[in-house]
Amino acid sequence: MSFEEKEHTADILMHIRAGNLEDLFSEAGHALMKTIYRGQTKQEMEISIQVVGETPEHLLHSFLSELLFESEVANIVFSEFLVTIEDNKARIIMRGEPFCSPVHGGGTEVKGISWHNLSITREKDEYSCDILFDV
Amino acid sequence: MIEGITKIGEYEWELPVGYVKGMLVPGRFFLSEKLTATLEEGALQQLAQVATMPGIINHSLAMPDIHWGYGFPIGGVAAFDYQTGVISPGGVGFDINCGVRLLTTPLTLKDLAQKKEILDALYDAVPVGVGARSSLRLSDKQLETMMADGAGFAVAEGYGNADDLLHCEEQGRMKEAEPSHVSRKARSRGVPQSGTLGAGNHFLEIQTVDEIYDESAAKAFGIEKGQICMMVHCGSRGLGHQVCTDHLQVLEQATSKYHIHLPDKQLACAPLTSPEGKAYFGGMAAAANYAWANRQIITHQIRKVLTRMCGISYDDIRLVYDVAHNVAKIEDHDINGKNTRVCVHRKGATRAFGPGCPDVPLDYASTGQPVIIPGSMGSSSYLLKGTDVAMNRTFGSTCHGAGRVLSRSQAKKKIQGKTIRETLGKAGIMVKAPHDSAIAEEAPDAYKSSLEVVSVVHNLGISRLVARLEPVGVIKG
Repeated sequence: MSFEEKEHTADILMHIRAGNLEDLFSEAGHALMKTIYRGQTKQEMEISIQVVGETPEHLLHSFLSELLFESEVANIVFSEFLVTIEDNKARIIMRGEPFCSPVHGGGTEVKGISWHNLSITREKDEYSCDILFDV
Repeated sequence: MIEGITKIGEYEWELPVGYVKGMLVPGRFFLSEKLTATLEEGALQQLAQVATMPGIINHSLAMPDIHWGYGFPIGGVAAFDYQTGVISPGGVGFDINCGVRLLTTPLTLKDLAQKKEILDALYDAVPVGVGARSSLRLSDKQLETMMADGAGFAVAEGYGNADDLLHCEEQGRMKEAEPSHVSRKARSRGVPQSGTLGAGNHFLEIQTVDEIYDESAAKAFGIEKGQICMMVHCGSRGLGHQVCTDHLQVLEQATSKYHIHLPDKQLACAPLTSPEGKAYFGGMAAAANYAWANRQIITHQIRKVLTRMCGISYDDIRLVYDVAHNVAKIEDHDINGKNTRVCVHRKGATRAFGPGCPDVPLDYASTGQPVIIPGSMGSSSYLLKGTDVAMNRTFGSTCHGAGRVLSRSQAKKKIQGKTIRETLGKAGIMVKAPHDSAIAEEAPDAYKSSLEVVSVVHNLGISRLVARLEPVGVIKG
């Protein structure tokens, strides 16, 4: 279970891997938060979201778009994602703490989650995908 | 050079129909031989994919700052027939109406003895970086008016002069704005960020006019050698980002509904005349207006700081022009001798209307519109003018900046922010940013040479050099 940045000239391209779909979503959430914010984060606050989508890719795109929105509007840096996926729905409990510039500042502002080459693949026991954040 | 491309002029290259399946027109891009070394296959693939979109006219175009993006390449320009063509958020980007404005002052370098203090005061006055919030508290009604009236809203609220509006592209307001197509979520992102600079490559710079190439145009634009200018680069903040996100979902479904076959989901689009296409255009225009108001509010903060610290009057600080470089516009262009209504997408490209064109301010009518090309941090920026050649060849468009050559992670590995800050400091360029990492990402080496890029558009004639500006103080988001 991991994420790593791949080379992309203009934006941030992340490669995400996990043993199951739920963990893939959770890792993608961490990848987004680690792009935007720095430093360690406690789990003091909790927000639950639910997203729907026709395909796992739609679900993932909706989750990350919603995470970006919630983080920016509620001003929370999330560091834990408990993901439940059933059919075309995903429910995510997200935990984190309020943004504090001296602690979390210095990251890269993400403007949006692109659809660029977004495809979730499964090989044996590993799920993976590339996802591009517009920065 | 990448296989399958034909050189058809000193600075002009063609991607033939067939480079990717389904192309309706060829691709054209503009590069010097030197810049071909920076060309990425991914960017060409994206240029070719744009050529598959319904209603595209003449060519899928890319300016010399072309680089790999998502959907359209950065530096991409495409015009679509209003009746048969489409509109796509992938041709605009998430940061709707990301743009640049240039202000002149009566100051010269010798007036900047307190440069550090001025930079500190600007940094305090304009919220920058990730998580920065505005001190303004816009009501729902004010936000609605901001989206409808653009820079005019800001001026009406006391953030500037009526003359400022005359010196903005579209006079700082797209009349097609439909705030009803901006969601509650987008509004909730927009309220706390009005008047903020943002992060990434957005900046506020103190610059000095270092060289004049075209005395007559410089005079028309009010530019003199040695003058201190201010440049602002930012966009529509979270409001615009959310408008793009929201409408992408709708347009992805519309793509299927209208039986449009695309090679990339990020090119999701709808016919310009469809309800979905009109809704995106109305929402996009509202976000564009928010961006113009945002830059106008920042301008007001700059004026307040400079009047307080430099003993000049508010009206001494004059707006030369404000350009959008991520936007789609309905424009009339001469297509094969016939006046045709089109939707021009400029994604990382600047409008460059020539002399006498509608929407060029009256005082610039015989010169052409000012074109502002920001350099990378610590490097030269350029002021150019629009031309008739651009009207004939690029739907009145030119480049928008230097264009990246290194990813952000490569840039951070190559050089530390602290080192860049020290190197620039020795060159007389003071840099202020929330964190050194923000400086490293935008290292000068991460970009193409801005001189090489503007030389191509100048030599092609799609815009012409007027002046060069050098940074002396930089605030990075």
